[in-house]
Amino acid sequence: MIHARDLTVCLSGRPVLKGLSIGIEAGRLTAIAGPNGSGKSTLLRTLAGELRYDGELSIWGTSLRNQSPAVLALRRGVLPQSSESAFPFTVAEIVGFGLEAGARGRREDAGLHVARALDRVGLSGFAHRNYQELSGGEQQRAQLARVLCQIPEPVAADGTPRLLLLDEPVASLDIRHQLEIMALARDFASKGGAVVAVMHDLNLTALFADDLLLMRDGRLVATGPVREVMTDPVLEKVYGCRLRVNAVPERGVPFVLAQSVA
Amino acid sequence: MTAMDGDLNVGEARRPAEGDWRGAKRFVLPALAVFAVATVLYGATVGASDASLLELIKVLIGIGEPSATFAQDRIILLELRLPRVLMGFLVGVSLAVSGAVMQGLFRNPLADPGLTGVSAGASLGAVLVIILGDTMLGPVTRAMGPFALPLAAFGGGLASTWLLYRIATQGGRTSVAMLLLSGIALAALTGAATGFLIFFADDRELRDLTFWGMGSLAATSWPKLGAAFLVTMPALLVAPFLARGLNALALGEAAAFHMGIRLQQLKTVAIASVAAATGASVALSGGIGFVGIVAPHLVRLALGPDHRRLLPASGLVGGALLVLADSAARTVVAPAELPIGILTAAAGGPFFFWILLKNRARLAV
Repeated sequence: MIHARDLTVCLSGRPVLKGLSIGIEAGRLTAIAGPNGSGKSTLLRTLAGELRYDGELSIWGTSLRNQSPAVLALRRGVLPQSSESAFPFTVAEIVGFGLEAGARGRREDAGLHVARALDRVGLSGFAHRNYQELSGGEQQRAQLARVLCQIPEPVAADGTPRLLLLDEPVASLDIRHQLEIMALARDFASKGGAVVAVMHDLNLTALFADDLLLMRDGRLVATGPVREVMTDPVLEKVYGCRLRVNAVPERGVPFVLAQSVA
Repeated sequence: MTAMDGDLNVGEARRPAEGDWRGAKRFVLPALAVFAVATVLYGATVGASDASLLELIKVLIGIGEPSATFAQDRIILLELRLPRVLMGFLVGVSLAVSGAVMQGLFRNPLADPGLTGVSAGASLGAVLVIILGDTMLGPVTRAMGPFALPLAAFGGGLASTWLLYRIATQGGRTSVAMLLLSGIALAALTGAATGFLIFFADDRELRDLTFWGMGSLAATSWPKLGAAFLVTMPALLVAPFLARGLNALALGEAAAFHMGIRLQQLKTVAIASVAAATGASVALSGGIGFVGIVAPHLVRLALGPDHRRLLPASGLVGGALLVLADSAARTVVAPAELPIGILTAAAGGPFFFWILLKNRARLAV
């Protein structure tokens, strides 16, 4: 669904992505991992359409350059790393913004959709709370509810798969909410949508992702199904530290144990 | 989170309460509109002269007998008081809406045309016309008639808003410190230019300038009101279309873009409308401060920050506040008159302190 060839992005004159060629499929959860400063978030922002790029990048068979913000908003949602609100909106109002931006538009049953989205992220009782007074993790989940209102179904009525971009979706969450949010992302992909998530936690990645893009210094180091990519030599090369990949006994899911620096 | 049915019932149970509140909020805008009309009528009935609006209306529709002073009262009401009250309303609406739009654009509840130097820029434009209008800019000002002053102020306001935005906003974030400090620098710069112009002004120009600078609605006439109306109307009409964009922008530029907002277009229109509304107000009434910060803040307290309600409600509150302030300015020391700027500053200053105290923690920079 997403095809990039020789994708290069400069931020204030400095190349951050250096000639990436990648393919991302609908129906799969693709994780992007790599050390700090490797260009993960920049890649995600580029896929979101925020940044100028050189090279080719097409989504849904059309160059991303030719897609207007309004049309993009109907097809892809983005969960930012963190999001503050400048004014004391209620949680329900913020989630409602997603509804207005998305394909549903304004509807009579807007309240119901907002309540359902809040429910999915575990914030049922929070509709009338001041967003500014929530904890970081609660804000993150409220934002996810907003994004889920913007692109409610993983596949649009005309059969176009929608794209969900997540920038470190579980960074500020406790372990239970990490699992819940990743399960939501997993569900979006299983129902035919495409999910791309920047991830730091390799074990959660192994548990939920289908594919893994490993980046280092603005380049792609390895890409493919998680179980093939997640091996000691590859991860040691990417992160520059010693670690060991084992498999969870009964399920065969890899898990990573850090050993030592270099 | 998977127990959809059970939790949905909780959602349903909450809805009636929410519905009631939403229903209550629905009546606030019409109520404000009625209140605003009432203040305009009140403003037209009070003043140094006891000319009666009611009597005038009665005579005009043919159910009353004209009194001895009818001819004089009629002139006072129709040529002096009515345009003045309407101008006060227009200026109040413009300042409040520009304040609300600016606060949305800068993502900051303290942005205000007066505090950020936008009014200072607009007044530089106005001073240019007042002082050079007869000499260097003579042909231009004569050709533009009553539009010269508001348009020049619009130009000054536009240049300063644009400059302010370029300086104070970086990567979509505006820091309070940058905003206010750039405002101080802007005000100093335009103040220097204004002072330079005043230095070269002759006596008559100085007198015009002094009257204008005191911030008064006293010199209002129908042509002036018409010109101000034409300059501000596009800005006020476009404001409701900014509401969704400003709402989304509250979550940051990236989030707004993700929700389909054309950022560049939103910013351009917002800056132009702030400049037009502020410019026209400054051109016609000089320095009237704090309306742009007080009105939106009161509305946010009552109705929340949603710009779809905030923009129209702030306009109505700002207009009503200024009509009331002007009525007080005309009557408190009658037959003399207080400059209205003194009143708005005396009421707005403490209000501003209160906002600062309330937001102390969040505003620390």
